[in-house]
Amino acid sequence: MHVNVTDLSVSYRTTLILDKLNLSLPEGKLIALVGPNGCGKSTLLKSIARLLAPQDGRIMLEGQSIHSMSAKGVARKLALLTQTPITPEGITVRDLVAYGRAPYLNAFGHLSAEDKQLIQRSMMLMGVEGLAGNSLTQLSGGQRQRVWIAMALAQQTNTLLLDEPTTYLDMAHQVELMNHLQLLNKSGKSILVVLHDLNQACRYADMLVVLKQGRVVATGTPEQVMSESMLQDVFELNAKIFSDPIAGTPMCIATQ
Amino acid sequence: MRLMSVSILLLVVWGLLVGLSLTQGAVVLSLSDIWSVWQQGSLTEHFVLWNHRLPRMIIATSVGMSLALSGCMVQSVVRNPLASPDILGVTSAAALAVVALLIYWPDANVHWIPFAALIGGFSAAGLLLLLTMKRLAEPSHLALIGLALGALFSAVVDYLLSKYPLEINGAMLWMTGSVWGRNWSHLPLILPWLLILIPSAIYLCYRLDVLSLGQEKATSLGLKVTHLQVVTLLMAIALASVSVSVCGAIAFVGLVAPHIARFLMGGRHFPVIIIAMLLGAIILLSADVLARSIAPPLEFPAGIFVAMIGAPYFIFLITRYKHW
Repeated sequence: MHVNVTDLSVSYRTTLILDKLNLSLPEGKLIALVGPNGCGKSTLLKSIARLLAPQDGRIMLEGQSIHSMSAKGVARKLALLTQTPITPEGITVRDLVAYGRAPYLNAFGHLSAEDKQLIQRSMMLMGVEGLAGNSLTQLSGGQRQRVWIAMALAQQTNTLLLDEPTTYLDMAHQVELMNHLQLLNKSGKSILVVLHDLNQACRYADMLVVLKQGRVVATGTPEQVMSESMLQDVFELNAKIFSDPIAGTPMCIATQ
Repeated sequence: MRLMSVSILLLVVWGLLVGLSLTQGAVVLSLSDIWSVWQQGSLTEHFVLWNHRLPRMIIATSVGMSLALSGCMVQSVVRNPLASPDILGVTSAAALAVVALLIYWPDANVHWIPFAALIGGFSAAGLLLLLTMKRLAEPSHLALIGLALGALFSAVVDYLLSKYPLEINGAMLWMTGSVWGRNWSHLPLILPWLLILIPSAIYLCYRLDVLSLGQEKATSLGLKVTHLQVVTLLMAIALASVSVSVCGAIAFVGLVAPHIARFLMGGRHFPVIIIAMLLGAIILLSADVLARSIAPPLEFPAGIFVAMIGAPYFIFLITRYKHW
């Protein structure tokens, strides 16, 4: 994805959320952003997607400062799925996925044959093409999340940012969703995903970025980053680390 | 196509109401009379038809459309289905301007009333936008500040009415909202606005559809959200202000019409605004027909009948609304 964040400071009202944060994200990886509640994960994601204006610092996306790009320009390179997107009433799955084409359309939103094909393909990639005519409100949480990702895919961006996409899903749907993300990553998409479940992050991500109080405190492969001292320091969690018997990746279990 | 069939149905209803609107009132005409009256220009009926009923019908239609469109746009920006042009404080500011005009310049020509209302409405809108510019990210603030401003203006109106009880008859009649006594001279006050703002609203429809996904999602899809919100609000305010300036305060059309339209057409803005405008025209025209045919030659202000239909619907809406 080639995102470079330099000395980024972002405040909400008078509180400093991100404090001179530096981060470099390589292309083509599935990267998990982890950290305790309130450490600035969502703020970082929104800043990279240009939803928030920084006080200070610079964000480069594919070699260009995002603040010198147009809103549509950013939307063609990077798609963001926020934590709790608003579901408009009375809208079908196909209609919602079609909004992913918005950065490419004129004022009247006319879809070309090519747009329609891309929409169809995005739905197929996320396995929701069978639901195309259904209203979004009829779907389960897992299906809905996949529809939102299909919409992000229709945006045809190199980079996909997701804010806790698994949080409200049961375990089976979490696994299904993470497998989908892994497939998308294998097919070339750079993915940055905020995850709460550290073991899930270790299992699926090529790289972990650990945030604490608005700063990056560790980056690297799960093996490099996961340690008992890091968990103690960042999450104030007493835990032991084992090797995941299935995937061989690090796995932590709380001791108290 | 659903939009086509619903539009045709509503146009037929509107056509029937046009017939009633032209024939009913203190002088009852039949439809065949209309044709003969048209042919022989010298009759009293010709005067009634040409100078009163026709302009009145066109004004009721235009104001109904204008209020409904304004309601659609306010609801899109405030993102709350209970929002309507009334909550922007525009109506009460326009009323304040008219009452002040009638009290402090009692000699002023009645033709100044619409202009005073327009100036009052736009000043309030300017004040509202000034106060909320930094808070558009939380549109509920816009609604709350608008309501507070509205309460303030209404309080000043009430104060003036109690202080100058003798000067207020004209103001009272105007404030209830009526199409009575409106003639050709009022049409230029509203038609040019509609001619500009209806196509502009249609131009914004797709963007408003994208905005309905929420400000964050819309931004990440490349939409200039703040820009769109300000433009949409300004259009809604202009439509509400010109409506008030022509007909006085007519509540509930701007709330009810978009809701019925959304119920019939779903969430997309283009079909919703088309149907809402037709419904707005129908609601106001039928209120006006009722207002003057219920006990002729007595005329009631149409605003009363709109509220009589609108208020119960509003209560129904609140009891049904589940997303608090």
